[in-house]
Amino acid sequence: METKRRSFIVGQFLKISNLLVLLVLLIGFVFLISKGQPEAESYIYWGLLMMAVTPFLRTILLFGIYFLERKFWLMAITGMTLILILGSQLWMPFSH
Amino acid sequence: MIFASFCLSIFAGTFGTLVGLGGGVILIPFLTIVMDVPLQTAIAISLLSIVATSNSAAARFLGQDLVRIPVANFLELGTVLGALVGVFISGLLPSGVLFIFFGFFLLFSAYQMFQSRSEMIGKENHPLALRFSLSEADEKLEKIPGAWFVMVVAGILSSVLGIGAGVFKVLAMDRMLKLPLKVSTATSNFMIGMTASASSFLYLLQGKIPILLGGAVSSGMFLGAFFGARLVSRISTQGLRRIFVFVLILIGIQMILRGFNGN
Repeated sequence: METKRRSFIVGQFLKISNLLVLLVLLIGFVFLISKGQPEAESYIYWGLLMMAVTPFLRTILLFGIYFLERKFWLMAITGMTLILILGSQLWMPFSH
Repeated sequence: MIFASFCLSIFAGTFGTLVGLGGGVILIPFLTIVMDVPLQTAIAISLLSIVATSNSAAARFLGQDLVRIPVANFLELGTVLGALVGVFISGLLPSGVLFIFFGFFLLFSAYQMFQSRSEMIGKENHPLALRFSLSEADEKLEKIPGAWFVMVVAGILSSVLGIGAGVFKVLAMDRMLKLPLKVSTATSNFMIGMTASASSFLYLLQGKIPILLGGAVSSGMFLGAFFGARLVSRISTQGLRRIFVFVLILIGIQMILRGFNGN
């Protein structure tokens, strides 16, 4: 039951996020055709930023879900990942 | 050329989603050789496109109940830790030797996977699987510490060698945790977005990604991942296994050649 609920919540979050990103990117590409590059780039840039930050937000959402489910080990694991990634971005370049 | 990148990205996204890798193995050579994009820029675009693939595919795979979220979170921690360790020790390890060693490791893994005629299914949960609530859908997860160790090594390799860790994630889940291959590739798709997210976000803020090209590639990968996720449910496990073996061989040879060519 918990499994299905988690998958459903995260899945819906991703779908909404993906739709928003696609909408912004689409506006950008429409502007590219109709108005030219400078205005289009602004929309495409924001669309890409929203897309890049989605997995991070998804992980924060999961952290909250685990808290509500009282799965403290999973909370700790997810929290440590978030801290490591945030920490690494703050003081040194992160290489994939 | 922007349109050509968009079209190729659809293919790369479909292929990457099928095998849980993200598509960089196709994208980076295309961007550097055909589009004449500098390697660092190509890597930055590839990272961003991996996020696109992950976001798109994961939304679908979650609905198909193919993603094991706790396993993904647990293994992600290992990869991130390994990547950070890799940053510190990069330069201390001979990258050429590492490329060759792990290239042959992937070829050996391809041989093992090719030899397996049926899925390896776990028989008993490791105690940590129960302690950390990792096990879902009545699956038994074996060799938890081993899988986590493989993730740390994969993270180190990704930092030291500048490669994606997706292939090692799928291998660890398939071979060590004994998850079904479709679940392994879907869970890997879910994971790779997180590890690519931080870097790609920084690259965007630093202005290192050409916006139009990045937008075209990401949109293509997004669309490709959408098709790829639908294809996974239609393809047989044996067919998927053959595709993955092919990818292992391709990447293994690529790594060996890079090792001998001095990276």
